[in-house]
Amino acid sequence: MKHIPFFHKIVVIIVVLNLTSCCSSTEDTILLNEETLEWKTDDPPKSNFTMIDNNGISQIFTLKSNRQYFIKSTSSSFCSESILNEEHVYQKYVSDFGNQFQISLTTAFDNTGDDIYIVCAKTGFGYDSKNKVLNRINTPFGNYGQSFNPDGTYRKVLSSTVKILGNYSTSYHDYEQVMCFELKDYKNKWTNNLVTKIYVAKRIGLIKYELNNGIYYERK
Amino acid sequence: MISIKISIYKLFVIGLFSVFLYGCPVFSEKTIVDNGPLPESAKLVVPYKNGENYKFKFSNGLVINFTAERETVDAIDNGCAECFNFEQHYQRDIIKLKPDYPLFDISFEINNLDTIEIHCELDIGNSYYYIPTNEQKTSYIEQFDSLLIDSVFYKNVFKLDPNYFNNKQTLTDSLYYNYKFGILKLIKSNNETYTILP
Repeated sequence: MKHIPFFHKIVVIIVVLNLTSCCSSTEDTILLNEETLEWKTDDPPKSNFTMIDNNGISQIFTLKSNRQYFIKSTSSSFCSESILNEEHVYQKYVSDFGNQFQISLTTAFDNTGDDIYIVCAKTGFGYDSKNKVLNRINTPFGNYGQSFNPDGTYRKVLSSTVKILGNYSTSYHDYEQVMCFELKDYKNKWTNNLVTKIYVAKRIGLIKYELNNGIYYERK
Repeated sequence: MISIKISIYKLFVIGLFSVFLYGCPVFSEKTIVDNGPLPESAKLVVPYKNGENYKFKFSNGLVINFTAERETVDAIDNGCAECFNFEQHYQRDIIKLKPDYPLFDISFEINNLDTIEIHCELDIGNSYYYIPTNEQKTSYIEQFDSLLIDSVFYKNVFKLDPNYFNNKQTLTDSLYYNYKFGILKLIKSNNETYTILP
């Protein structure tokens, strides 16, 4: 093996140091849109609410998880590194019957807006807040998403709908700004106890949901 | 000189093997404790029969039907994750009451993991109860000679208090139970009740 002269080693070290000094590192933080954040609830830890069905049977939901945090991702090339911090919100309520209600807010990427994802007793849906489009549904019998056109717009293959209602009233309260999801896809696979309608109010959370068998639950 | 090098090499290899072997379990015969079948007398603490229907009435009169699913299965317990050489064979009698209404699940398990004190547990939603399986256990529990529900007297009734699954928000406040009919009355923490409908 050839012996590298000391002078050459010094030159190599200097060159490497120079290259390193040219390297750049960037850090970006993407925050959730303020309007998106209005879909999370303001409940303090361990708080609970009661849902009563149309036969008078009540179910108590308790806040089990309430997190607002940043996910850090790093990408690097030869001499540059970029760090991305994306804001997320995750809230989970569990009922004394074992049902779950979840809210998950995720920052936007590419052409879509912030993602609002809601789950109520095994039926879930995702909503693109910028394009105001239902982008996916999650059910016990499968998960389905909207496909995209070549220009990046949604093809809208799902029949299920999401509407934002200015006002909505239940037997117990009046609400403003209510997101109303209605499942309409794959009706041949529906079971009796499948959740087919979900109503969520800004800053309050779940206010109503309905099952395929006609039973519905309203927040007291 | 060469032979010294070979000896050192051999010592190194042997040393390396001993380190690996030290981490392995001792090769010995497995100890199997067979607790045998769950005695039929132990199964009597839960009266529900496979395929039978049972009715409960909610506070406001709504009647909810439950269908019983009951099965006895063989089970093996290792005691702990590191206990490679020990196995305990026993039986579990699993009873599920499935409602025809979107409600909490009710399930029982009787097992003879401990052959002296047969274990029986009842899970309702996020709370659970121990069903007494012998006289010694019943002495710690509040008992009533009879309980009147909808003009029917039920004899030898236990009042059971719930334990909780990792949260203090419990579904039930108390439960009235006897060996002949099972769950007689369930009182929720918000005073809603479910009572047996014979």
